[in-house]
Amino acid sequence: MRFTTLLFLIGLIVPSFGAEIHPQMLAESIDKRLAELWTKEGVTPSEIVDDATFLRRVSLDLIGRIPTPSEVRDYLADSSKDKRAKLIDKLMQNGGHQRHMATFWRRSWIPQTDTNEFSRYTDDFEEWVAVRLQQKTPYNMLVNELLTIPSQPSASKLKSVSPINFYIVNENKAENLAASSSRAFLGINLDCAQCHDHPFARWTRDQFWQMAAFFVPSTIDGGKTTLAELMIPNSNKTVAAELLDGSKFIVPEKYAPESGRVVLSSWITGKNNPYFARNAVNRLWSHFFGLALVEPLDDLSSEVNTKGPQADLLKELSEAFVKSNYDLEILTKAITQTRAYQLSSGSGDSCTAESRLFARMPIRGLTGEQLYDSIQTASGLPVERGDVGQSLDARRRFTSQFRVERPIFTERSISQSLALLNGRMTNLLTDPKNNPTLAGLIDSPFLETQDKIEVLFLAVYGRKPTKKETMIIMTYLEKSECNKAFGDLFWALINSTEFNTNH
Amino acid sequence: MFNSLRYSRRDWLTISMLGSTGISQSGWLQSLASDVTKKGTSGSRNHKSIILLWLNGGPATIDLWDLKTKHENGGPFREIETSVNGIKISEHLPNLAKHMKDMAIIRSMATREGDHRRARIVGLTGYTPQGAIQFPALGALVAHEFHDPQADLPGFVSVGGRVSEDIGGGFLGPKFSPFVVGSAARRPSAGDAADLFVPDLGKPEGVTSEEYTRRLNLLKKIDLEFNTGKGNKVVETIRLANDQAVRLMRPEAAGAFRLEDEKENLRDTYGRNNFGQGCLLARRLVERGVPFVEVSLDGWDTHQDNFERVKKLSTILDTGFSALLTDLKERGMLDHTLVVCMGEFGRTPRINGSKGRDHWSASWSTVLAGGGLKTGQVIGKTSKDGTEVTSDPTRTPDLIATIVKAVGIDPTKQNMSNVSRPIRIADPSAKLIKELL
Repeated sequence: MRFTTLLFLIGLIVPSFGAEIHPQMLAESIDKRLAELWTKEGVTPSEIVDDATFLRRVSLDLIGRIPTPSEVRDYLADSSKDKRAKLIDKLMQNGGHQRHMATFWRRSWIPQTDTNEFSRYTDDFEEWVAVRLQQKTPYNMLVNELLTIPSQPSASKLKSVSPINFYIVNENKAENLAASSSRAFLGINLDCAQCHDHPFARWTRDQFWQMAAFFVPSTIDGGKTTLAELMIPNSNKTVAAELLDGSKFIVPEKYAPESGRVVLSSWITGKNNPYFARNAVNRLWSHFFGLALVEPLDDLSSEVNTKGPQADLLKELSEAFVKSNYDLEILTKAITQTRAYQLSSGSGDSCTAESRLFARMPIRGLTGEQLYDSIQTASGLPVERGDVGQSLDARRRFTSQFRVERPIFTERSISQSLALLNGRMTNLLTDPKNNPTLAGLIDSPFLETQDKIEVLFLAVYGRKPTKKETMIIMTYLEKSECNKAFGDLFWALINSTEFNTNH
Repeated sequence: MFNSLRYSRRDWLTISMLGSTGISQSGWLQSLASDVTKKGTSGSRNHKSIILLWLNGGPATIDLWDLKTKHENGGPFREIETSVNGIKISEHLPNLAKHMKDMAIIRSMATREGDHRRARIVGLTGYTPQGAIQFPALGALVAHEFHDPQADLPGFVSVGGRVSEDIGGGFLGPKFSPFVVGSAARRPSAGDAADLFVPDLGKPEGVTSEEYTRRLNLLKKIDLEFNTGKGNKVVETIRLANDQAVRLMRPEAAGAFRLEDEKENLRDTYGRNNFGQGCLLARRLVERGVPFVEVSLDGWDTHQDNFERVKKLSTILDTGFSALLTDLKERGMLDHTLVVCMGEFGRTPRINGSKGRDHWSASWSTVLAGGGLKTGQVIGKTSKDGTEVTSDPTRTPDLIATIVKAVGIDPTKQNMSNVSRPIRIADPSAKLIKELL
């Protein structure tokens, strides 16, 4: 009964978006779906977070760093009713947003760039994503550009930003490119099909190599473009390019070595592809909620992942995403404006039922990038930027030590703890000479000790201290030499779990 | 020695309860200041240990342990006699040949995965990846059984950089993830072991012990105010890692990583490269009760120029591995230390057009040494051209079950997994290799 009602509702809601998708309406329909899910599962959602917590969370998620003390003060002082929606708009206009999301998409699409072997290909790729996001390139066009870049680029193209590193980190091998593309853009894991038919498989070894064949340069034969064939390694079998769903395709008449990729891309990024939009929405959802609507991220083709309320919601959102012409900004605004996104993290584990039902915001770890930029921000230093000629070496060293693939599954290692407790960077920042936040409060003759504590809390935690916290710190300060003690306090806050998580 | 490291645990959690007076006189800080390094003695331990020499990239075992000199697949390498009659190995492993009595070669590994990542998961966990189950690494499973939670040294140490960063504690939790020494940035075969040290193990410059303890105390107090309830994994791993980091700073624990305390000539015999020195570090850690140490030697993915590259790598392997066996034996540690030498798969018997060998999982070899096993023998056989296993086919679960059984762990023991289903230490299909036990 309930199931049929649900189907009925889906039928009603989707057309009501019309041609134009409004973030607020989309947010409401997400909340409606989730509320139904909670009722069905008998779960009570946690309460909505206060303004300071929301500001910190949404800043970390949208621009990759904690807010500055003045951003906290301004936001807390704002009494307008729609301040959260206004804040989201403001953050998305911040250049840091595209940069942060470029890191997210780079990590989702080519996770191998997080290994030492390929890390040097990170920056150029992220620059390409960031530039395209600034130009408001629709998501399908973004992926299409990546999949169809010419094998022999013209001189003018060579100078501009390019996603060429996608090919380099896949070692230009057809099999690597096929596996990466299906995981990155379709949410399908074909890895096991590379060697054998998986016992429970949806995909066979032949299908894998048929997909890989699209990445082999095509040939020209009697004036006609011919897609290449591929020999399956350790076998005598040769296969021709075939789409995963077996659908027919037309090879473009005009010859280009990348013709195979052009054909593949028009299928992957096409409106009828059952995985393309779902994969994008599912991944973006996981960026904001820790868990994706459907887990694991690279198994969208499995039977269990196409059924159930979360899968239905994913489908519905994907349809809206396609209707919006693959507009990532609309989707981002919709997700961050939901009530669900504003729920508190409460207590308990991040992977329990409530989190899987999105009735509670899980506590997530910070990516290396978020942590580094937040430490800079807490110290009163500007975030370092490569595009204005600053050296990113220190940031790169730090992020390679603090690698995080999925923030919700972060595990802090002993080496990382040692670095943050005893490392050179932390140690320099406990000295007011290198830390404008500390220098500012120590030099202020008009600030009482309590005010100084508050300044430091706003800078590091993005909130005011509680009475108990003030008391703990006052006790500490009484027994210490004052200037040094604030350095100690900064050190302690930077190493705390509150600072090191997104909650 | 093992007992001396379990001693009174004085982590920062305890310190904070002491209040601010007299802290500098107690706890780990006292030891931190007194700087006493205790010499290890073996024998007082209550468990065996495992050292895994991981040959990353998939070693051409056909050019190491199971040569085919009479067939065109054999390539240019010759065989040499070993200390066991009738068993021959590669001419580029002359020192290991002398240790054959303490080694067993399994020549009948027959597995299925030919992709590096998946084969690594199978090799390091004993399980084929299945949906959402986060299988723990063998090192985590052994640490889970043997590691004393009061010990300052971690239960699972990985030396020389990990290639598969995602294979760790798995469903056993981050507590059992490896402590990684040395970066993967440099090939373990290179260098002079300069990066085989633990960075940031000392207090920050300019901070006295007393100040440092006061800081830790403050951190602890403030951190308690972030109340997320019990069992939040992300928060717990940060607290746990901070706690372990501070314990590792104690001089006895930190001293385990000081290779410079070893005699120069002993360091020379291990080979002055990251792998050799990693083997030496492994011995120091096992001596101090660490249940599982992994030392990796990268570079075995020899699609081109297989023979030149395998020859070079063989020398590094031969030097480090044989020095380790000699050293363990001289210290009376070999019987309770099992050394496992393997990679994710073997390489094609057929030599390709670039004088290389490609991925091959159907027939390859692994080597076990010490650990109280019945050594000095060869298990299984491959065909004349090396492409097929002709007797005693061995799969990874069989190997894993035999390894854990050899150190006294029941391979059928179950642990609760992240999908709320109990999972055995070794895959239920595993058969013990009886000839070894």
